[in-house]
Amino acid sequence: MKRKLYSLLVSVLAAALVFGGCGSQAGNPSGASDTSAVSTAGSSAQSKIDTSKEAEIVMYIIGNQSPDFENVMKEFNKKSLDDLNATLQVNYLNWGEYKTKYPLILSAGEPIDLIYTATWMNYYYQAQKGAFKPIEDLLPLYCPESYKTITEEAMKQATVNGHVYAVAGTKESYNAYGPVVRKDLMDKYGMKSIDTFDQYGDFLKAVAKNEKGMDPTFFTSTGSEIDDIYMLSKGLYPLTGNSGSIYWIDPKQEQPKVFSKTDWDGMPEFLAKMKEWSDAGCWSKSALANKDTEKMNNGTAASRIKNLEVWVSSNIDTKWDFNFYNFVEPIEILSHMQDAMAVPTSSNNTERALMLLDKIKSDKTYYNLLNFGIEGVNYKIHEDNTIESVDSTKFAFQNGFWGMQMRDFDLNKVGSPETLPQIQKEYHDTAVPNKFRSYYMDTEKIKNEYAAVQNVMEQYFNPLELGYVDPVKGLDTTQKQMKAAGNEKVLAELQAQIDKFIADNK
Amino acid sequence: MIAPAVLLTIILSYIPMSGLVLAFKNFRYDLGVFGSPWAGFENFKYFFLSGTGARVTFNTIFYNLINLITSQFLSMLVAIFITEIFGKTYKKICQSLIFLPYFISWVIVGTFIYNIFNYETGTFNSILKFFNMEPINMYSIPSAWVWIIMIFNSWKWVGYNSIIYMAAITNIDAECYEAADIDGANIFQKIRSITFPSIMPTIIVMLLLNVGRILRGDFQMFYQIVGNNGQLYNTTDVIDTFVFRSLLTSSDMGMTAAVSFYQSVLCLVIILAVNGIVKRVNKEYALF
Repeated sequence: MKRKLYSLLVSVLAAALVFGGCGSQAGNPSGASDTSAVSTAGSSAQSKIDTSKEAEIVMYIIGNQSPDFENVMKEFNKKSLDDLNATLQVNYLNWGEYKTKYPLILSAGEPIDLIYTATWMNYYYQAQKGAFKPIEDLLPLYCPESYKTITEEAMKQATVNGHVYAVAGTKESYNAYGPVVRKDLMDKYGMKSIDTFDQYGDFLKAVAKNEKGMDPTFFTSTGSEIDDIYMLSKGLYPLTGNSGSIYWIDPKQEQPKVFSKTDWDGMPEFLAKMKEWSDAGCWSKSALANKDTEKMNNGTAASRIKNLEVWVSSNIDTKWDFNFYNFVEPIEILSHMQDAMAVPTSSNNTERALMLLDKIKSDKTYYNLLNFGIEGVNYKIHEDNTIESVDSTKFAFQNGFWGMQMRDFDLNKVGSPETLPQIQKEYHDTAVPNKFRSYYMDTEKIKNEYAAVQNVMEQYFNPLELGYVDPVKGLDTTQKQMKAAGNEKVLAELQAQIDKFIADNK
Repeated sequence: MIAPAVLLTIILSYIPMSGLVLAFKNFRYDLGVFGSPWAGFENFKYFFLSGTGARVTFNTIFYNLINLITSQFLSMLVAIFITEIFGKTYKKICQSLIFLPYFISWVIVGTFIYNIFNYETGTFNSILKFFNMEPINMYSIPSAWVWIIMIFNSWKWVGYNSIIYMAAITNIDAECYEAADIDGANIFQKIRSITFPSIMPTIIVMLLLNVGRILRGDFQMFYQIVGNNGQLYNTTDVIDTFVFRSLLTSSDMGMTAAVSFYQSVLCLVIILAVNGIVKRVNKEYALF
């Protein structure tokens, strides 16, 4: 009985806290106007920034905290207290719960000064919904060093309705996408290189025929990316900027027309091919029920469709060598908003938070502490400028700090493929700009239809593209279901957005 | 005396209800729950678009009903059987074994199921192949999953629920059984005429309590067993999984709240209706 009462009390307290949080925020509906007041004051005459009061900067990032992290933070806070009279409190949102917790901590009203944001964390949606403070006027004042490194393109990609709500690092990720393949198996089946989609099919079929108990390639229950690389290899552009997009355009056209995957001209041919591959056993008949994302790394799959980063980490983490073949042309730099940091509306220490962010992004000692730990204890730098972790179970590299990754500070890890620096250089030199990367889908007006369309794709298209159903009949059903879900309304809205985007960016 | 309980109910059950306004709001982070602009019924629309709302509502009620019937019926049987076991150690072992699945999380059960039913290496197909039969691709037969989910749900809950029935059975006056023994009743007659009528109130209360949550799917169970596997949605998609998936990408608070609101209102209607029926049949058994 006593225990019951106690647990009840605890839950009452918790409820009161949550509710109190909501209440205090509801009581302050002028969050947005506060910021504008700060920014105007900032632009007038704040060359000398007052740091006499000690501030605690609360930061939320995604990941699981390393055991050694507390020690590193002690070291970090000693430094930041000296330099900025501020300490940093980093809170991790664990991988298991980040999707649900993230919107909750933003709405709970607890003061947060810095938070990780990204396209895949719904940056544009949350920015429109007033979750972050506009910082375009604050950046030159409080982030002078790192402000210089932000490219015009990155600024443009961070802009929502005329305001900048987040600031990205200078890391460059590329749109290169394609098969990551076990090298020993390619040698075994006499394949020198995989340059076309069909050659990849030949490899899959060879493995399916000869390697019992091994999946030639694998997917997880969220669907496959095989349709994405096929469409990307045809030079098409996904409107979300990432794989898994339902709506695409052909950026080569003068006035690109938005179309859904299911209505694309090349789709019947692609589906017929997938049916043939599926029947040949190129992937499991239960691929959509699979939740194991490590199949290639534990040796039960021969290849996987992914990017450069996965190729590098698979080479480091496993005993096998892997080859990577890019199917996407031309090479482009992905949106900088893939990883960025924002200041939530609830922040009380906006200036100091931005100053600390600037410090991390411009001072290598700060950067290395957060990203790699303490030198000698957590990491070693070798003569060839590669970095080695002393014990990755104690301190994981770049654990959650992706939002402030700087290209010049990063080092390749020991064990990464020898060709990596060369490939990185090649991509960097040949990358072409794509103006559509600063376009973002605004689904506010079509949120009902968009949610319904996504559901239809998951239910009908995912099994279809893996050849589990008849390609002709299946496509017909999918198209009909799409229509019922409001595909036309979504298309019209997105087309209007694209037309406007082109007119604005002439 | 009753004041603390009233206070707790108000704090825990009534004050949070004001959050339901979120269902009719276009939520903005900077304006908060009460400051956000009104949206009318806009948040409810996506749920009913293209008939999905009706399908998942049907599925939710259907699964809860068959799970309710099967798992409660089995729990009752198990409780009766276990109390009839004489050997003390054997009784304890049986009870523990039946209770054990309750402690296994759905995440692990989901992995079991994948390893049993996946086409290439699953246990089920390995057995079929051993007997020279054609392997079956369970993932292309949505209707099979009704049975799979029902079986695993019972397997997991029977041990736990049977405890409640066992408590009810131990409360039955032993004199009744002694009298029946003297009259020469056999074990089945005793179960039918003494045990069963005596635990009837417990059965009704359990049914009513479960009916109250008939529109809430056991999210963990469905999500861990089915995941994002679109092939099975027609027969396995329940309200909770549908909402979770739809909003994973947009995380619109208003839309989530709208479906919660819909579930709660329908639950209220159903529990009032069922309680009304019970009241008509036998006033003593009704909850209120």
